[in-house]
Amino acid sequence: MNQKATYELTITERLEQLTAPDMVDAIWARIEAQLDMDLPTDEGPTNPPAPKSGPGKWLNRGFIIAAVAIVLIYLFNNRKQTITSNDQPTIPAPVTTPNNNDNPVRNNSPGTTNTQIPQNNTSAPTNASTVLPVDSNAIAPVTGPVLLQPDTAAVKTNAEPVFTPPVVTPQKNNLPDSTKKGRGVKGITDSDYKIVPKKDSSKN
Amino acid sequence: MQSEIVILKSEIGTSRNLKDKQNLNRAVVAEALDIDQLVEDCKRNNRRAQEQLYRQFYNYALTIALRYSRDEADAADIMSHAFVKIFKSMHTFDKTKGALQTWIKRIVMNEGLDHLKARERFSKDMELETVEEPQISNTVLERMGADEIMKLIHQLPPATHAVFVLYAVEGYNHREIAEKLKISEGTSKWHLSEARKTLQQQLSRTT
Repeated sequence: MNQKATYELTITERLEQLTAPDMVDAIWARIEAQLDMDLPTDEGPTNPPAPKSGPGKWLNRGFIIAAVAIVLIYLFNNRKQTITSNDQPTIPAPVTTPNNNDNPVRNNSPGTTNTQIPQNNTSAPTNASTVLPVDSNAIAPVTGPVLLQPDTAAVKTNAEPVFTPPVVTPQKNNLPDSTKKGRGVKGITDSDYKIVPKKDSSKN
Repeated sequence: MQSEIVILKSEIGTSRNLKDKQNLNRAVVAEALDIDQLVEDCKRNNRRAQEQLYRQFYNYALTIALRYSRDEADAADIMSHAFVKIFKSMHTFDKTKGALQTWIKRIVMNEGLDHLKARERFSKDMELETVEEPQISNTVLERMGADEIMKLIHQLPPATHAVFVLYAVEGYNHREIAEKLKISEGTSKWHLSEARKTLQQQLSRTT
């Protein structure tokens, strides 16, 4: 602190006598508005402010991240499904002849009673127009070409893209044209499979 | 007989004085309790208590704010910012370290200085080793009212204004002012000298 001069003491004295202008309500209104923004009271907004620290903050963040991840996964799946359904060309898919015993796996034509279809494939629709899942490795032994077209109606009505069965794409079908390949070994007929009983050599 | 009457009167007088003193003490204690309660309520963010505290210290705080402002609107700005700070940091107030009034004064003063700093860069290269002796006429000042003196101070440039108020009104020395305003002591002395010259010129014009 300094030693005040006489004129400084006079100024200090005079300034202490200064009458404060009546702005008490106007200034309080500004203070209150600012406090309502920065320090809301219990009587104020009913929603509590978001936690700025502690476990609540991490819970909120985790919830938001999970929600975003779910939306992204859904969009990704939806996009993938759309691309797959758009890229389906008209393809000649090999199918089996009506002979059930020769190639039972490939025979999905309506009215057949194919008992070798896996029992756990419950999601596969029984509708004839729907394309069932096809294993490209099992397509090899076929006898005749049948034109298969992707059923657009089935795609449209199938609202849940997750459960839509995969279809055969031409890229995956790298097998040679099965129409040119004969079935079995050439030159062997059914008569060649005649079973002739032979004598038991052990009895001799 | 007369002496007895005088003695009786003096006894009555002393008893009245005692009662007055006791009443005054009770009032002071009650007021202190009220303020303590107000502070506690303000710490709990009770809006009514905050308003009550603000109204109780309005005149005191505004008088300080006016010293660091150009006009009433400026002072109102300083007041609103200072009281928002006061209520936000009320939980840091410790009555064992100092009176509430002193704490409020410091916040209002700092807010006023920030206000002046916002108007002008304080760190100038002008420096003075010695301060000129004041040539301001006290007789002229005594004839002036508080508002007139305030107008004279408001006409000073912001940094000069701040140094003059801190030195002449608040009673800080140059080292303390230099620390507060983050300037050198020489710069503080230069501003004080400038303030005195300007005031002297203004006062000579008024006479």
